[in-house]
Amino acid sequence: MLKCRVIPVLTFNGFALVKTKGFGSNARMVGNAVQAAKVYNSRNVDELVFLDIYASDKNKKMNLQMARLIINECYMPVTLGGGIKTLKDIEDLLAIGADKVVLKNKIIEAPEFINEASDVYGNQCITLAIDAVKKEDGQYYLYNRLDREILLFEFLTKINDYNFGEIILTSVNNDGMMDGFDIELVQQVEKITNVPIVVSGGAGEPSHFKELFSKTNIEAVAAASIFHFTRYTPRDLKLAIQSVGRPVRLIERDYIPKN
Amino acid sequence: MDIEVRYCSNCLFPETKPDLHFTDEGLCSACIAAESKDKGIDWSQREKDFHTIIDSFRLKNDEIGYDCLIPVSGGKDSTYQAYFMKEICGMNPLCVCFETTKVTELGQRNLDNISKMGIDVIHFKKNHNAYRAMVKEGFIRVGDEMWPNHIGIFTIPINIATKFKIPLIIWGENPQQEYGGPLESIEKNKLTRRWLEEFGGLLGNRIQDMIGVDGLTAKELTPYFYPSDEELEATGITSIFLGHYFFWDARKQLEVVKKHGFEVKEDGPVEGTYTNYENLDEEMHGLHDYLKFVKYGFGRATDHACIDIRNKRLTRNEGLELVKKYDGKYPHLSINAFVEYSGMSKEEIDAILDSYTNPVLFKMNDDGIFAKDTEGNLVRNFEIK
Amino acid sequence: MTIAIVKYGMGNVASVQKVLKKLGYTSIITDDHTAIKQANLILLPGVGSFKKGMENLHNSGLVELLTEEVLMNKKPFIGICLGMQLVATHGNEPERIEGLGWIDGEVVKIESPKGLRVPHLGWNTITTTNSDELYTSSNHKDYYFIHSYHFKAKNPEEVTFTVKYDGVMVAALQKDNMYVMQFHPEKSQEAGLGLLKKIIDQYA
Repeated sequence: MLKCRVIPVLTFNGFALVKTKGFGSNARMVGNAVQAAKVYNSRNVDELVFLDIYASDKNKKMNLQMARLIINECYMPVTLGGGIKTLKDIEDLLAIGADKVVLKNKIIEAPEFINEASDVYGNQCITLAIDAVKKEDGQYYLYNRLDREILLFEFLTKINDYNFGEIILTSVNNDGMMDGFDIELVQQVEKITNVPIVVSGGAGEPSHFKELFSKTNIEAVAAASIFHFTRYTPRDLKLAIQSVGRPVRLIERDYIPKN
Repeated sequence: MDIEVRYCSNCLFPETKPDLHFTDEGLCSACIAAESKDKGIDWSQREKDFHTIIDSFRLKNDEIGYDCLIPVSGGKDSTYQAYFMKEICGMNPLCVCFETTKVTELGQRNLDNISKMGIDVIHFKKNHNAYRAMVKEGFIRVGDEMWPNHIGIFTIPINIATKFKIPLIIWGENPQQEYGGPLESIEKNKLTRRWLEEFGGLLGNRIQDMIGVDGLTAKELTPYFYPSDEELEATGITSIFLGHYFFWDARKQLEVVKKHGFEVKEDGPVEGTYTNYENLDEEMHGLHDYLKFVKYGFGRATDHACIDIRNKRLTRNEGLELVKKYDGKYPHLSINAFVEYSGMSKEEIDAILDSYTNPVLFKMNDDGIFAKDTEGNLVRNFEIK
Repeated sequence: MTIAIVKYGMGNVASVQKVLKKLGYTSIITDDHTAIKQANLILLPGVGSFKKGMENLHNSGLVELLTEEVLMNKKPFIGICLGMQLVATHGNEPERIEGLGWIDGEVVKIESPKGLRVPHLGWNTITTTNSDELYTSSNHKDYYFIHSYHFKAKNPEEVTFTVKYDGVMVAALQKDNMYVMQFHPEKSQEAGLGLLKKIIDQYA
């Protein structure tokens, strides 16, 4: 049976690990990306996502030396993203060992790039980042730096015709707030696409995961703040998911107390 | 390829420092905290608040027991805390020392001095093998050989406090206040459980992650597990920062404790900085500070210069010169000590150091090796301004 | 012992080499015919479409070379993901294409009855009915899968591991000197490294 995945996310500002709240520009400096990668690898996490979140803004590419250092520490799948605009960008990342790449800003202006990429590299390498922001009118929009007002579900329905392997669905409102996931958003998106979805934004404690996995059919979840700032490890969250009857991958170790 | 690193306009903290924030004017959160230390805070009110709090925990004169617990290291700060609670506040404290990795002779003397000040001290001598296994793993996995020390100094005193039923715990400075942190944390006057994982320097690693390392069992790691929320509640554990209630001035406090038997290093500054009164207790701290340097581009000399700048003992330019001269030098002495302690070879240690060295901040040659100057120091890709 | 990791433009050779290095084996990433002939074990990784995979192999003249080395000379061979699918008689991505034809079978698209997501992406448990220690040590362990097409084997005795997703799918096959797997052992941490080691050590 396919296991539910718990995936730590590392967000990078070009030279160090940072953490945002609500995708704000005043990101909190967290520290060293390599050390985070080592910790996660030692925990046998299911996957790791590493994103350069300012690459597009600064019109730069992901620092390949840094990415290589991170991948060297990981013996599980690694997804890389940030500033991808051309096929060569994807090739460079795959060449240093990335398993999947994330496309975001490019697909708004040029969604056909998705198929260009998947035709060459296979659709399983291509992940789309869909950032959802709920505005005062109660509607969901696609968060974008082009200042365009794009209704989220319409966009998703259109994009779904293209050939890609996975979606990372992030709630911008809940990002970094550690107050729970946007369940309504997830339930809506599940109706639109049949591609694997990784839910992100809002994880703060194990009960949030129990809620997410019992109220939706999601099979993968991503988190960051909860791992940087609280006592909870990926294992704690997997046990929470397991407690609501969903299968997870647990690597056995010596007795671990309930604390 | 060179990179622009932004520095605080007042002190010398770089933007690479974890948890540091800048205002629109370019002032860092540590300087903002210092400013409010000088102006925005009503210290006399805070002092009143402090006495109100501690008096509510104070035992009666004819009662047997400890009024408070003070975690100590033998360093100047905790010695001051012990002196303050005993002499100034008239309390009967229990001092608990979770000793550092490799105690120096000077550090041991300063620790013994606390009992000579008329105070009971529990000197927790840790399981050496378990600790050493965590030192090595901490070094390899998170680039911090002091990892078990961070968790030990926060957890063991809490464990002893719950066992001895001493609810009041007196910590010293709020690191977020003195060294800069997210603005919300600066006002925190209490050290809660969450503080440990968020600010305690655990670098994302947790004690459960150490189970199985070198065959370590959970039992062998007993003292490093924080008490449960229920135990904490039952004892009523209340941790407060002295630095929240009193203006923290390290140099002034040093002069006070020197009068009560505290010794400083007489033969020159400590490795990695220009001061001779910090980090006297730990022989290998130079490695710890160097790791900070390779990861973030600044070392302990920067920390000390910034404090002195904020306390108006140095101008920014004077601090800049000291930092350029002392910051980030390869710590030969500490590395040698670490070779002996850990059993790792110098090559292995250097390879780990390289894995944590930020390739954006430091020059890397085309063959993927970091460039070094004639003394073996890294070459910066940025300019300290 | 030297392992030749076949370079044919179909991704992720770096990860495979990293893992082999961690296990202590020497490996080279190459499409050079001489180097492949001289290697003791050949590893064919790969991610992407069947059609492109076969095209690239043809363009480098590797189809004849590999068939000679692996099928005729019985050189030890490991195929991963696309590298496993290509040994089939034919594939269907995006249209019917002839494969290397070393193991009888066809590569078909994963059906997606209501609720099943495609691609098959994530950790899943593999099971074996084979009693060989090589296989029992990985029985009921989780490995990482990421694929939209799967191998339908003609001869059940060549199937070593199965996985449950679109019904029961083939997870790995073995025929003589050929060990091929749909999942990514180089991405499956201890379980993956352990299995690779067991296979390669037979020949080391």
